[in-house]
Amino acid sequence: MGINILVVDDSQIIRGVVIKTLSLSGLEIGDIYEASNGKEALEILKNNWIDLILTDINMPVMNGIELINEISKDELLKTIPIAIISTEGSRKRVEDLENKGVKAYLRKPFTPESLKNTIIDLLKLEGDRKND
Amino acid sequence: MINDKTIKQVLKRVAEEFAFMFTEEVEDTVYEIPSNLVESEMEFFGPIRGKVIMIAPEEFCKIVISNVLGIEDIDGEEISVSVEEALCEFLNIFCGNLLTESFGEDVIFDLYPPKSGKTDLEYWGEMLSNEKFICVLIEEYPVYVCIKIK
Repeated sequence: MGINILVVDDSQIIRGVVIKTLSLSGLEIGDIYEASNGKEALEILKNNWIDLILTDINMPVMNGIELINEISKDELLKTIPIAIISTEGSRKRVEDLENKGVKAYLRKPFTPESLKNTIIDLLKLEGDRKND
Repeated sequence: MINDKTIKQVLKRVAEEFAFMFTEEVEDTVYEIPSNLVESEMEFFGPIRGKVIMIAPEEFCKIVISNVLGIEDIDGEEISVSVEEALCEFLNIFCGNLLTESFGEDVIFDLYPPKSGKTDLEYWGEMLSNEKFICVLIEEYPVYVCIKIK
């Protein structure tokens, strides 16, 4: 069974390129869900099994940091690995997000290879965590 | 601090790495004003507060969509991404990278989501006379950038 991935970004072009990269990656992908902000993402998370979240930071309605804060309050949701895909490059912000449980940070513009490798690394981490 | 050289360098990098397009610098600020322009702007705040405005021809935005999503015939296919949205994301990536390049990785900036719309020649003429724009040719399309610090 493939992994279910939630892609959260207000930019349809970024969601499109992420989904295209995932579909061509050779990884075993299940369902891909799309949300254009944190609020929509939480709604999807309530109703669907998600194995991995890829989220932007800078979004209207509910941004990525607010989304991560909400996820961290939920015992079940906080176990889902999260990778940030954002244009922001502040080291301090990355450290803050890592402290909140974010497992990877990919800066825009990214290459399809770097996205694929990020996902592979996250899935390895997840596998190791489950085996411990 | 933000300077013209950094703006051009970052614009070039984003064009190449995000949209797979190549750039050429132009000497004159005003190259040639195409009629179908798209404008996008976004605000940022941190150690300084300001706004970045980007103006580009609609054709440029279509090429961005085509290259990023790997669509060969953009006019022949039903595409859900608008030209305005394409410029917004191009600007979003440009702005984030410009701030990091200019102020370093230890500084935090908050970015507001970009807004976009189509602009007309009259408005464009007024903008050019009132603001300082930098122009870079990206695959022969003039892309104009203006940074306004508050």
